[in-house]
Amino acid sequence: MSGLYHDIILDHYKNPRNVGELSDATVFAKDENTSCGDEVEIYLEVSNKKQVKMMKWKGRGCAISTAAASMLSEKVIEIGDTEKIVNITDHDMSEMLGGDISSARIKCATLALVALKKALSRS
Amino acid sequence: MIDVEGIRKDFPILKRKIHGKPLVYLDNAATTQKPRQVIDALVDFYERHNANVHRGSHTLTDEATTMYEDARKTVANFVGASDPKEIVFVRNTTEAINLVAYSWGRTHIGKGDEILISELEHHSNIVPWQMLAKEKGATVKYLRVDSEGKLDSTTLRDQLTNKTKLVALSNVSNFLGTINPIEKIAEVVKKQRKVNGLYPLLLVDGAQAVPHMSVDIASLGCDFYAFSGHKMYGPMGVGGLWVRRDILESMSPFLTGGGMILKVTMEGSSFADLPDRFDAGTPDVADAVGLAAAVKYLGRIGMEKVRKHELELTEYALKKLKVIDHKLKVKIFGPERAEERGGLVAFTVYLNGQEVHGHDVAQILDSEGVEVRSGHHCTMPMHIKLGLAATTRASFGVYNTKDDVDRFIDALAKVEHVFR
Repeated sequence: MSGLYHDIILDHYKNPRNVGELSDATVFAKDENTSCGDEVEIYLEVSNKKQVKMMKWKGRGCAISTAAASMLSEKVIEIGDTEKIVNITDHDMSEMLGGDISSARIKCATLALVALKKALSRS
Repeated sequence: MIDVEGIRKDFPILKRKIHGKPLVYLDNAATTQKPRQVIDALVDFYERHNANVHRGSHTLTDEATTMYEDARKTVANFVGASDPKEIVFVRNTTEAINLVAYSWGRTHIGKGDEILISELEHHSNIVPWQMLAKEKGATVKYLRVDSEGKLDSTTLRDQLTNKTKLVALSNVSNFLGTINPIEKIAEVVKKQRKVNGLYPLLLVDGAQAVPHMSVDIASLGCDFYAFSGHKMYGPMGVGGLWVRRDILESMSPFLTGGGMILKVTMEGSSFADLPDRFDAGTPDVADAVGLAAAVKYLGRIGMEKVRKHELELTEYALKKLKVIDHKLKVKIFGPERAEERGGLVAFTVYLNGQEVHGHDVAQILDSEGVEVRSGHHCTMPMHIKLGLAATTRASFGVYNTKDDVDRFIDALAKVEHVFR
């Protein structure tokens, strides 16, 4: 099947990266899409210099929300700088997932990002 | 035997392609497609008869008013209401229930009173009662249903108290498909009324019943009955609320303003008789006329035949879903026996023992042109009780065929292919 469920998404869905909790998390946030039951928990370890040292996440959801959380976690660890991370947009999420996200699935694609920003606003 | 091929020709949208595949529309519980006859009735109204209704002094007003009241008669007749004045045109079932909560509930529900519904209800038959109860210091009680969505009539009897003012239940569940035995329920409610006096009253959410089976309100024994036009091949802006005549006579208005008054002075206003009292402002005449056309369309087919057709499709779908037993497994919710359910099937899908999320199932089906719905179907309490985040639901209508079911099953097999 072309389009949405391409290899990269399926790989992240079946082998999601950075799944778990952080016992010494600096910040934590949780969010859910009540309309479908997708939920995600974000754990961040943020240094004094506002650098994300580690991100872990847990969740239950569709292939898109799972792949999105997994891809986002890699991106966040790669970028590090929280000032840059807060500027990740919904559009960026859509691009990360291959650009084929319809308005029906955008909430799946951005759930992890919403929770992440919630977490960052608390740090 | 309905003439499905003939019926299909009446629905222009069935010619559409979705992602290059012919449309298989299995989301009829959400809304139904419209036959040419309904579309033409709308166009005809706007092209040749459009005017505001009531108290006009010109030909077009006369025509529009006649068409509006004829539509009311047609709809009343279809649902077995003896008097057209007992039919209030509303936007949809949700508005109908809100109207009862507002116009009847606010003046009849008080502190300590009880409203008895079920845990299987659609949100439109839950939230208005929660709001009313909160405002009045009353309580909403939830009847338990079994795994097939069936109400225990002993449970109903046990839960009725001298504080129960209203029982509100669905005729057919939009999630589990369970058909409630309304006549039997009404008998239990009436027995309680003999003890209590005037209460409890019985409200029925008929949104998933009227389009799919014969409904004869006169023989049901309920006091309020609500349904949606758009779910019965009619336009989206109209629905019906039937209220027992004596109750409706005594109800205060819902929306107020023009059209529903007798007299307005700076000192105050008086309200019109039925049916005008519940028709504030310019009514959606066009859609009422469209609904009448839909009712006539269904009448020509015959509701017994409609039910028989959808039952066959449901039986076929249940049979085919059950034999999917490979790496892909399907868990079906609601009554085991097709004749105990309306024409819909909600289910979850598992691949190698792990659930495939409803969204993904629905999206993959959509890629094959098969339109279903996934989510909580406005029945969150029941989904929470069953421990479900989301389910996928296929629901049938007059134009669906066995071929549609085959396409649906084939598309499901694709889920295995995608997530292998």
